[in-house]
Amino acid sequence: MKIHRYFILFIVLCSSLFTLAAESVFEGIQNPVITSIYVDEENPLEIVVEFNLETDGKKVNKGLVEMFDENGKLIESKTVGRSKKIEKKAVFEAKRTGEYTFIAKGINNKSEETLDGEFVSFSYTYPLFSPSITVKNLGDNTIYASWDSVKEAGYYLVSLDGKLKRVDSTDITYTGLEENKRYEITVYAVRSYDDISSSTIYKTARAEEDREWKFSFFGQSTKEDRNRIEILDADNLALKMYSCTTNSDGSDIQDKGGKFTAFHDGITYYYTEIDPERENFELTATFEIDFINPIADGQEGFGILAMDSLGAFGVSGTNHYTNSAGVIATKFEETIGGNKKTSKDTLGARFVTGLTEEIISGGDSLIAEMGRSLGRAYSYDSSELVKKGDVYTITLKMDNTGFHAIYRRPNLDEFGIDEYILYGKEELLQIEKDKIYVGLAVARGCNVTVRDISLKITNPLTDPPAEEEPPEYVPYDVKVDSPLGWYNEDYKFVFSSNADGTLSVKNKKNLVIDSVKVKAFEDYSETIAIKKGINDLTVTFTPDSSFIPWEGAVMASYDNINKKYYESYAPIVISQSVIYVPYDGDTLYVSPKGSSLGKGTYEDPLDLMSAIHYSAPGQTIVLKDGVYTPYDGVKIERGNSGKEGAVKTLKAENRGKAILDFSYASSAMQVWGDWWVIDGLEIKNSAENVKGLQIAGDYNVIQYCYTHHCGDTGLQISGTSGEPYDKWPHHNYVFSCISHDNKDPAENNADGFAAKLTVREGNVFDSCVAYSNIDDGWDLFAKIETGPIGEVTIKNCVAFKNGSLSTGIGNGDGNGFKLGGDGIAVAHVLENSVAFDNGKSGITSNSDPAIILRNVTSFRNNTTNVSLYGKGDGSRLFVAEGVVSVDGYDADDVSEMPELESDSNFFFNGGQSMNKSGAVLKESDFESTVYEGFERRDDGTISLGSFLRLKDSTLEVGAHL
Amino acid sequence: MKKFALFFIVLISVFSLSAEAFLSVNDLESAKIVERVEFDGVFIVGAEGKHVTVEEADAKEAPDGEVFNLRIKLEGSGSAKHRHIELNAKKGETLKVYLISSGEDVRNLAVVNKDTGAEIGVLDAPGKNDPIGIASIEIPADGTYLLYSKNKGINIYLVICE
Repeated sequence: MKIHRYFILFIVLCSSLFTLAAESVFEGIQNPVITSIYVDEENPLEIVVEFNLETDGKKVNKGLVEMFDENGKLIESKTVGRSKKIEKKAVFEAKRTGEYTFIAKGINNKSEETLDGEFVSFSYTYPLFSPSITVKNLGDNTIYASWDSVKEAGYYLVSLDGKLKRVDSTDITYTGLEENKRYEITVYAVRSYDDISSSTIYKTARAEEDREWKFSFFGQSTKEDRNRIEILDADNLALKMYSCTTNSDGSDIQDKGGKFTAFHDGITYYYTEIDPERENFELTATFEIDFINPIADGQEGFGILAMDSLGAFGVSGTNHYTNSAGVIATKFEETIGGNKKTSKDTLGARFVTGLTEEIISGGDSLIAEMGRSLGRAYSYDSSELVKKGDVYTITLKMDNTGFHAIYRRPNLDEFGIDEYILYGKEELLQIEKDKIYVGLAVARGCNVTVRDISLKITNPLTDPPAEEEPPEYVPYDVKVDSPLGWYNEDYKFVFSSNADGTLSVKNKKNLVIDSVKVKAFEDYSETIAIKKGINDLTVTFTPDSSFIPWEGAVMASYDNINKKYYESYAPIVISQSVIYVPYDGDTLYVSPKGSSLGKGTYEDPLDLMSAIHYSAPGQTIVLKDGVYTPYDGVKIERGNSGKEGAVKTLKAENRGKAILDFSYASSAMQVWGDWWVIDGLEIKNSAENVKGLQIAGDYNVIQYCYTHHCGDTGLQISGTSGEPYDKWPHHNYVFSCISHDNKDPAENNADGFAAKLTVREGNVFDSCVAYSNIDDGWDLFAKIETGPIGEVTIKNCVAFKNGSLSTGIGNGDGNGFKLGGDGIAVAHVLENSVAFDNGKSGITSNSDPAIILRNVTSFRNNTTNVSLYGKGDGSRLFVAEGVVSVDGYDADDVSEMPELESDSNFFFNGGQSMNKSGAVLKESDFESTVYEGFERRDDGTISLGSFLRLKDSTLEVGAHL
Repeated sequence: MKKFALFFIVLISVFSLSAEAFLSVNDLESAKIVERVEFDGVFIVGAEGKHVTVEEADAKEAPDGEVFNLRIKLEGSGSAKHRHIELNAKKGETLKVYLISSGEDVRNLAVVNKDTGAEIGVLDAPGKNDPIGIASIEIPADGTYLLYSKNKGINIYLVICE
């Protein structure tokens, strides 16, 4: 009986529940209530309906608001998802004036039933929008005004200088106006009960037709908030152009947008299109400099630019390569009359030619090989540097001859240059063959106001015919590439020229080389006899009069009086005095107080440069302790070399105690010779933008040296871009050197170590440390203009805290190991090395797609520990083995080659470091993550103690220093 | 009395609801988040230069009928230090996330144990032209968990742990 009673109770209970379930699914939920309907103040086309509805997710899953017109027709419904808040809203766009009704409903996803509120009416008046008018000269003193149709306007009233005319269409034409008179035009949109006016437009009636101008920004490093324009006067075209943001008082730059480079630009561009079949042009404009980066980096500026093709609007991730002709203010560099000139930033002409779509698609190397970028400044005088507040009027003209880049200025003397010409309009018709774009441009760190813009169009059919292009003048690059000091009677004389010709050399009156043939770009070398003391060599090079450097070019000399080049095949005479002073013995001693009269003994030391000049292969120059202050820098010339098996050595008597302080010099130390060993020197305080130690020769060993507090990179291996690849430095070995606290004025270039731009194969950094340099620890940058460099090996090295100095100065934008640039593939090797606490990445490929990493550790860097990426669509050839990356700020970026994830690599995924199988490495797997300094062992290798040493010594991953 | 108690217990059992960590974008206001901000026990963590954006968007309906009128934009890759969602969960609970990639490709949302750093799983965010994805993962242990994108932008609509 008991069981039976409970069973009955259970049935009753279930029946009760079933009864409840059969009632409304919304039981217990209040009906929605519309609490407010209003027009959004910020957008008068939107009607906002606020309502209360509980959405618990079980009975009510979402809300629905419906909008009906006066006839009860459903116009639109809006769904509102569930939320904890009872208050909800739905926004409707109203399309016309009218009486609307709204209702809010609750919806259950599993039921057809709805939970309805009450209908609520709302009276809406569609806003009458101010007509947006454009006004144009059609020529012949006729002005045409048009505007977009204004919804619900019955008609329009157009006011021309106060005289009203009713118009039922959306345009009007005024003919027979007074030429050069400025008219005031306003358009009123009229509805039966209200009206609204446009803004007033001023337009001058002119005989010529108006041109259409457009705005764009594109190219590397451009951004919407930095690259923009502001039209000041649409009638007499005037505008502001921006390429950067500044701080609140306008004294310093904040963010830059774009850049001018040799082959591609990132720019703000205001331009018009030219039909070269029917139009020649002359565009003149006056630029007032509102702002220019006070610390110029040479890529900022302004100008007038004609382009073969346009970049895609707003696209900054792709370099925009094109042919162009322009008058621009940016960095220019040339060698004039044998003197290298450089200026940033100054006005000049830049012509980029030789590019086609096929060449551009062939990549950076092909562009550098086939393209041509010619830059010529109007002046290198420092008074011509662009400054805030300056005003410049420049002209770019295209006629049947070609493109004229013109900068006329008052007080230009007879030697001044005010025009450069690119011959041949067709140079800018290689990519887009039927139009040319011409306009105003700014880039990177320059904001301007542009006024007095004048565009004259002429007819190619009636313009003067094309002028013949004069030959291109190629300056002679002729030199004796041998040192000024020598150590025995057999002097290795080396001569080079960029033209074929005949060479003769006299030593006083004796002919030592008689009329030998010399080929362009091939060194001529011969051992000639010299005598002790001064040998005055007279070197006569007679160019071959039939030599043509390339089609359309001739060899030229520089007229110093008239300050210009002229065609010349006249003999060139060079006087070179070679001093032969022998010093016996294996060792030459020098001291800060040594002199050229010294014997080179310990008691009677020489001065440093004398010892360098007159040392023989196999000899050692010992620098006694002390501070050396070479006022002219220290240069080991090309040809001043040891030999394999008989190197020349320049060493400190006690490592670290011979200090070369370049505080008073405009240059620092350069090694152009080969087979030298530089040992134990401290090099410091080089001038701004001057490297502490540059290695430009081959087979040199630099060991146990310190470079610090220099005005550019501490120790850099590089040659010169003016020489071919086979003359770039190779097979140099840098061992156990330390480079720190180097800083250039722009704070974007001074690294600890670099092997970049102009290096060949075989250069090695071993057991070196770079820390607290303003830019990177190591920089292996390559760029399109100079092309690929040789492979560099970095092993057993440490890079830490780069991006700011030891004092904390600097914005922290420094990588530990930056291993490439410009997407150029070079298989540099980084092995058994450590990067930690750097301001940016620990290890970055910097777009080199072929980097090899072996047993490296990257820890606690300020962005990624490891970043391997390339550029463009080329193959990715990365190799990574034994990578340990722990505690980065961002996850490592190896997304372009996910197969790098393996059991031998522990990449940091943002949360932890793990290999492909899921094994994890944590900070606790290291003996210590507290940096306590580094030591140089007796053998010169570097120890970090227990810092970042894995507890499990059997793990064959990471660096083991 | 016993009968009444039994009836009452059954009633409670039928009508009781379970507790859960819950973050719906519909409960948020538009914002650019550059620090650690709490929303009812769930945190959205941004940083300068690594912000998270909450913004209004056209109503988007998930396959199960849930509708969302805003979205949480993880604007790029995140890590344990920035650009993630953080919540507490218990062993055995199911973490369910409504998500979609901001691009056309499928992207990965990592689920990481904050205390150990271990990644317990990856949730796929379907491409933006596909319906909102609803991805789930079982929580293996009590703790605090982080959700962040492994490389590019992902939009989050709802996070619920139950």
